[in-house]
Amino acid sequence: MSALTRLLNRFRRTLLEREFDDEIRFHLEERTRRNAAAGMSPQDAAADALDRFGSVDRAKAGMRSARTVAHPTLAVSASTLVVLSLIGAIYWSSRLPVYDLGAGITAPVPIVTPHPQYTASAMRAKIQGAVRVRCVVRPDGVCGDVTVVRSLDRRYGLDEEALRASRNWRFRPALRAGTPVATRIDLEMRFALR
Amino acid sequence: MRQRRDTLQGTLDLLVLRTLAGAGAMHGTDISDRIAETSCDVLRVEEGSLYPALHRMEEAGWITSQWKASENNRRARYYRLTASGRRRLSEVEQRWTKHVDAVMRVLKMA
Repeated sequence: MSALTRLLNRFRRTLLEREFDDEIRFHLEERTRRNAAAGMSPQDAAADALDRFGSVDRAKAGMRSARTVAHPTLAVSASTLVVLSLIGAIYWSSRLPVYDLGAGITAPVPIVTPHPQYTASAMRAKIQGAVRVRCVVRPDGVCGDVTVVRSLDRRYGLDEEALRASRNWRFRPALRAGTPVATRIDLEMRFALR
Repeated sequence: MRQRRDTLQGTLDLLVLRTLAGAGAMHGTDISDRIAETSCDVLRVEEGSLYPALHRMEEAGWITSQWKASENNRRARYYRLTASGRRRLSEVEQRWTKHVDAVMRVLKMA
C-alpha cells in the first residue's frame, strides 16, 4: 500500500469515526429530549437513554465492522493520552462551572465504557443490581468527582468497584454554545450474575 | 447458535426495512420509536444494535443515508429505503411468514 493510500484510508476512518460519534450523540440527545418531554427528570431522562442504548463501545465496533474498509485506529498513543489528561486534570481542577443537563447543553457522549468487576465475595453473596454513580464529566471528557448516589453494596465492595469503573469512563464532553463544559451526570453501573 | 443469531438479525432487518417502507426518511431514534409504537411496545430494539444494523444495510445497498437537520434543527442521519431494499424486504417478509407458519403448524399439532 502506498503512503498516499494509507493516508487516504486513515482520513476516511477518521471521518467515519466522527460520523459514528455524531450519530450516537444525536441519538442519545434525542432520546433524552423525548424522555424529558414524556415527564422524566433530566437526570433520569439521560440515564434511561444510556441504558436503552447499551454499550456504546459495542455499537461503535459494530458500525466499524459494517463499513468494510474501516478499522479501529489509535490516533493518539497511550502515553500522549496520559500526559494530556494530567495537564487537563491540573488545569480543570482549578475550579470550573459545572452544568446540569438541560436547555442549551448537549449531553456528553460516552466513548469508553468499561464494565465494573464483581468482587469474589459479592459473587458468593449473590448480590445483583445497580449502583447509581454521579460524576462530573470534565471538558476533557474525563469522569471526575465520582460519588455513589444509590448504593448497592458497601460490604462486599461493589460500590467501590462501580466508582473505580466509572473513573475510567471517557466521554465526548458536553457542549454549551459550542464550547466543551463540565456537566454532572448519573451512570447506572449494573452487576448481574449469569 | 449460528442459526439463532441469523434469525435475530434477520428480524431486526425486517422490522427496519418494513418501517422505512412505510415512511420517507427517518433517523435511528424515530425508527426505534416507530417499531415500539406499531408493535404496541412489545418489540423494543436494543438501540445500540440498531445502528450497526443500519450501517450494514446501507453497505448492502438496501438503504441510503443523508445528514439533514432534524425537526428540532439538529444534524441527524436520515435513512431511506432503496429499490433494492424494497426487493430485499419482500424476500425477507416471505421467508419470515413461511417460518412463522411452520412454527404455528407445529404448535397446533402438538
